[in-house]
Amino acid sequence: MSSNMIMLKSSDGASFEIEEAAARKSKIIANMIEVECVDEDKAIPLQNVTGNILALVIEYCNKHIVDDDDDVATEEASEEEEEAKKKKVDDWEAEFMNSMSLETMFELLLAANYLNIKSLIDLVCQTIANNIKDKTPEEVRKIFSIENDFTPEEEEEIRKENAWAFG
Amino acid sequence: MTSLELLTTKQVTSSARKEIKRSRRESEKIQILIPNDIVEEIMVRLPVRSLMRFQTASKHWRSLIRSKFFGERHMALEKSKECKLLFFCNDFEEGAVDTHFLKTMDLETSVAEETAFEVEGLERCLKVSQSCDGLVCFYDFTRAVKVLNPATGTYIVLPLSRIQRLWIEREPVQDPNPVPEPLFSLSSFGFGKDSVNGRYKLVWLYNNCPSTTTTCEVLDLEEKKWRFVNTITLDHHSILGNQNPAFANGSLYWLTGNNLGYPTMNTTLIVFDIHTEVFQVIPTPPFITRDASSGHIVLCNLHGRLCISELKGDCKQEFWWRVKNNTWEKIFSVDLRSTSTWFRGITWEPLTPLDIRRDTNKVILSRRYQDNLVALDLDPHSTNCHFYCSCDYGLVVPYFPSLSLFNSIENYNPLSVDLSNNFDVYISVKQILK
Repeated sequence: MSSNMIMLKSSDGASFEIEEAAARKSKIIANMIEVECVDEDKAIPLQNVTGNILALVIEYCNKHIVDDDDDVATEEASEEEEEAKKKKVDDWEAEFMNSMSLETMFELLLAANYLNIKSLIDLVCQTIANNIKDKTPEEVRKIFSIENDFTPEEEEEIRKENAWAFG
Repeated sequence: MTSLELLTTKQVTSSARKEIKRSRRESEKIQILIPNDIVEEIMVRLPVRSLMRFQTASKHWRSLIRSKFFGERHMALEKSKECKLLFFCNDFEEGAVDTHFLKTMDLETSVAEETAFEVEGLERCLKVSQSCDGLVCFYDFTRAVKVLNPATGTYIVLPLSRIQRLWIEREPVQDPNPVPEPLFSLSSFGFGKDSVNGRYKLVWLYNNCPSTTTTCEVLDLEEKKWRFVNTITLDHHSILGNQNPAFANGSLYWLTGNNLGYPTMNTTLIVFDIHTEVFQVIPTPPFITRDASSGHIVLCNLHGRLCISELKGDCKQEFWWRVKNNTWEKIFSVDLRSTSTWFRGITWEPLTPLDIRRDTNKVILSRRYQDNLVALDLDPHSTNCHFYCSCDYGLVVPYFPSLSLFNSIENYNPLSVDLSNNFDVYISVKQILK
């Protein structure tokens, strides 16, 4: 294994090789690397992330690997180039999230949260928000396993106040 | 580690995709328990309309959505997005000229969306303040000011100010040789936010024609009472009439004029610090011609920054905005001869920028917030400009939807407020049920 590659191991035993720069997108892994608790030949065990989800996380990190170094390097780059680049990343992100089930999104969100990858948390949260924004309160309760603790009268009252939002 | 264990990312990704496809077919019942702080991360990204609806999900959701903390987080995110335009439209189709609809338009998609409200019975001289944190004030000279959050439908009715009472009580002019009426009527109040404690204030500054003094009335939205503020530091400077004071970074800005409210040469700026409530007179920035008429200068808020521009003799208008304390940056310039076809051929009145979009490199321009809107391509190689929407839309202000007011008033229920005891019940706020 080359020195700038590290190994991640999912909860269900799948191992992944990933460039250190990509893995550093995760504040948790970056931290582990900083304090040198990563042996060259040992995989970092990630007990809360399954292989399927970890694969998605890695796909995301690999795509965003250049981001951090870019901030310094692209000062010279023109605005148009930056716009074009941003558009490309946006398109990729849209494609990445597209066709993902709500359940997978939640799992990915939990993994991003556990690994502390801010930009991925933002992306998944926004996608879930877009996904549920037109749903009914009943559907939302089901999705988030929320128990309705309003009495029917109370619920009716709030509905009446905001009837326009239910249209 | 055996090589068998080591799946490539690609292989796992494709199997993950299969898994995804499979689970899509199942019902959307999520078995995973999501911690509350993550649920909040999702909620804070929802549009206001969805949040209004999801208040009925549970008591916890309702109290979270109504909390000040949540409202502020939500607003910070909304602010970072591209702004929308809020229109006060006449309902021409049904022939009711005195009914106004509130519509918001997404600049990106140009999709107009009706808000919860329509406003009935307003006279022609409807005035609209600039929007601050998703709130907007509308009023005319004889009716009380309403501070409205068009996204949540929450609003409050304010008491009449002194200047409004003076206007209402004035005698109809029968005199064949009437004394000219004071032009204070032409001034609009400023609406802004204290950058220290976050309180919203209305600041009504007007000239006391025929004398050269000014009067200032201030209303703090938490006190809901008009009171006077000393204008002695203005040292007989009068304001230009018919202007919308610009709010930026905790202060309000006016252009000076003569005591009748007409433009003058040697324009200066009047600044009011909303927190300290102190006025100051400052010179215009150095790029403004020294003896420029205030009628050729436009002050406004553009994307949160103070923007100033001057229409010069060659029909060119240069737009600058303040990036730091005293640092100004030129944003773009427009030759009014190239845009005049959209503005009834007028090249002698300066344009106001409503919004600037860096991603598409376009700026939306209007004449005094109530004419056609025109999108101008800022690419120096392009002279492209196109019609954005017509003046039929009525008054327009840049705006973004927020939860303001909704969460600052405890248990405020907008639709159960009894307006019948209010002497100026001229407005009925109707629900639009689509």
